[in-house]
Amino acid sequence: MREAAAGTVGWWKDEGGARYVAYRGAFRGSKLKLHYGFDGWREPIHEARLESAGPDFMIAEVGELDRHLAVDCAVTDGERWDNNSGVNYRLWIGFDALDAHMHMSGRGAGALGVQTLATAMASAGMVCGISSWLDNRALDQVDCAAARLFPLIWVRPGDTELDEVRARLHAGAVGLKLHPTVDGYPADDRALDPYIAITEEIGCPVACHSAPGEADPDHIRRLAQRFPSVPVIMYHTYLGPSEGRRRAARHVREQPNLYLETSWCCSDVVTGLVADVGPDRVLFGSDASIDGPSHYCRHPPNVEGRETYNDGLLKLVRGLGPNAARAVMGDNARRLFRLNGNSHG
Amino acid sequence: MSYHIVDKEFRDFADDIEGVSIHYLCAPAGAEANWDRDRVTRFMPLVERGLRRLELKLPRQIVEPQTGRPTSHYTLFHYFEIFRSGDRQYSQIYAEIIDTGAKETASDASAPIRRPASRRSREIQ
Repeated sequence: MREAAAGTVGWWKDEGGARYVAYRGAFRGSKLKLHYGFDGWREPIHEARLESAGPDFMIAEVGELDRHLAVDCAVTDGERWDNNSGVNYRLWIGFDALDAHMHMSGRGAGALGVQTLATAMASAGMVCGISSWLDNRALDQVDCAAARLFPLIWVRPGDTELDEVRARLHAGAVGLKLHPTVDGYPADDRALDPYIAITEEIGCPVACHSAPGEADPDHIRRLAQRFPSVPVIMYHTYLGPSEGRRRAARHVREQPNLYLETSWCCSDVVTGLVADVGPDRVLFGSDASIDGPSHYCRHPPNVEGRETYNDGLLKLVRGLGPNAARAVMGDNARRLFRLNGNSHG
Repeated sequence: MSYHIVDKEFRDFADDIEGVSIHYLCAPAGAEANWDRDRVTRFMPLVERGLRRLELKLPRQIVEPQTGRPTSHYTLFHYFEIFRSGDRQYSQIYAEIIDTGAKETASDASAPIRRPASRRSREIQ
């Protein structure tokens, strides 16, 4: 039988391929029930008994999976609730979701600490993610594999040592992170070339903050043009007015190694971007967990003040259809960052 | 373009500080700080144990909006954003008068640093 997926709540398949919800949380006993709903807790809400299936996990049978996109759930023993610190759990039915833009500052208990990020990921059904921090040493404190995170190396041209970049890539980092705005250089700065040359040699992508000023998509395109074999991902698809987003999309249409990432874009915007550049050029990302454990489901909504990630993703996935949704929600990132076959990919 | 350089330092007050950024802007003397419009954010690199230091590259002159004339006399506002144990803390906002001593010529003047407003003022990454 297949092992249950990592995390407190995950999928588990029996020998015949039937799928169950598996629970690995702190609660134990014969009275446990899975309290669940589909697609954002739409009525009716259901309960299913959790039964022991191994030494450290229990399973519940949940019907009608083929008719829905996601299971939202919590666990109760009749008196207490394991509801993931109040933000519940989500499992996507048709794919393993990956968040291509995350931040984790270390082991601290705050919003940017690894435990908070884990809570947020479970609330949105994120199986794994791509993470960076402005001080690379912070990631050294954390078991990224256990946290299901793939680290990026934060590069400051002229400051970050090339040997450090090589060493971190060999140690498991999956690409580079550039933030021209915070680090004060244009995204097409020639001082970046030695770093990008390493990614070209090793075969990994570069993720670059995109926003007005130094991180403008025009600069990022020029960088991508100098290294046409290196995938360059524009984080945020321009964190600024919609004119910049349109320009970013145009650059992606015209420059084959450019990609868009969608953090802080509402679902209707993402749908438009996918229609514009194609489903294979867009990666879902969220900037989790800048807004803490409720990053994906915060109220008031944190995506342009009008949508939560969890609500927006349901609209997006429904609108894209299964193949495009699978690409945007994880397969594109797995392909670009070469994660397939990795133990937590 | 030449700059007026101002050094800023931050001394870590705890062992669990995971990063420090400085937010700053230049405003005409006597004007309020408009953070949404004029903010510049920079990471403060650790130069030795417990000490972070950054050179701010400030304009030698800015344009006084009321007169349209260049001036080498303006206010620098700044504060620190401290990432500690997964949380963010902010210092108070500091203000200091800058006098670059530059000869006041229009060719060397720039408007206060301005960029289109970000969708998220609390962006870090």
